[in-house]
Amino acid sequence: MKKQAPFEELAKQLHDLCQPLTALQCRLELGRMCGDEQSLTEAVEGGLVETERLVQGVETMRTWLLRELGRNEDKSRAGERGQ
Amino acid sequence: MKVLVVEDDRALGLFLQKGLRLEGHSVDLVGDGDAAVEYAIEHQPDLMVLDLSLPCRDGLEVLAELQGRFARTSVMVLTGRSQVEERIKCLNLGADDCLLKPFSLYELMARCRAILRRKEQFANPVLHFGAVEMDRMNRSVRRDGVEVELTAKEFALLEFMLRRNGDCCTRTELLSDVWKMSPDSGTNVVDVYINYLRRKLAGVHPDGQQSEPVIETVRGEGYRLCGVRKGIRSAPASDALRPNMPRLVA
Repeated sequence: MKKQAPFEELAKQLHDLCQPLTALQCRLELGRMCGDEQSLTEAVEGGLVETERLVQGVETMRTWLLRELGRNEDKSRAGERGQ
Repeated sequence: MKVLVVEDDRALGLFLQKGLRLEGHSVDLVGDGDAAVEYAIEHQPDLMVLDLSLPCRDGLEVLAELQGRFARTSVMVLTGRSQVEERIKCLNLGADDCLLKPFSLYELMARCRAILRRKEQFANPVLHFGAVEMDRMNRSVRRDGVEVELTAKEFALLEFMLRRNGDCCTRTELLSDVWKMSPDSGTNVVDVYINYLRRKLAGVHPDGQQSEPVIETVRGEGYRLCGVRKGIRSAPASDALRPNMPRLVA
């Protein structure tokens, strides 16, 4: 059960990434569909906002991953010392 | 078609609304499950694009609430959760389709078109609005019960307007949907045919007085049917923005 916890957390973070990624894709596609200058400018501006949300999501995942990797390394070292 | 987008992410909801409007639908947006149920009860949209993760009442609860009560409303579920069990649950609760995030706006629009196409196939052949009734099976039209002879093009034009159920039909939409012509073609064929329809549908009361007009002009936009829709007084165009409706965007 405990082994599942990191995967559950990973699944949650992936889910959180889906929202800005969908918004980014839809925003760019909408800009292309409309095709006029104003829509394209709005798509780029909005795309940058969504990119910022994505970057924050990636940063959260990276921090979490580094922490988990650190924990695993500590556990392996403790295991080696025990042997 | 009347479409409701239920999405708590305001930015995403706005793009979905704009994208579906490009398809010619009348699209409203709400941001939580309670507002979605309230809207469905009041307006019975043709299609609901429903996110699963919502405040107040989540998408599954909305589906459960609507199940069996609103046969007229098709539901397209949007979800960021990849478990197949959840998608099965949604379909069993009455959703017509599920789309996993992240998705392409093109795919969403194509799937919505497919749902509405299927819906149209099994739809009641009789359309009516106010005093006008159209039977698409035997290609007949009646105004106040009196049969009116229409040409094929007039029939197609009236059918498009009846399907809009009193919402405004722009000249561009009518030109592209009924005549398959580009909006840049510079023709006034829409206005000419609207006049034909107006003349043919101008009923006469038994006391000799002229009946209420069936089609009204929405200045600068196009035309709409006027009259009574399903027991509710048809709202004027300006009433499209109802301040008391719980929605993110009016």
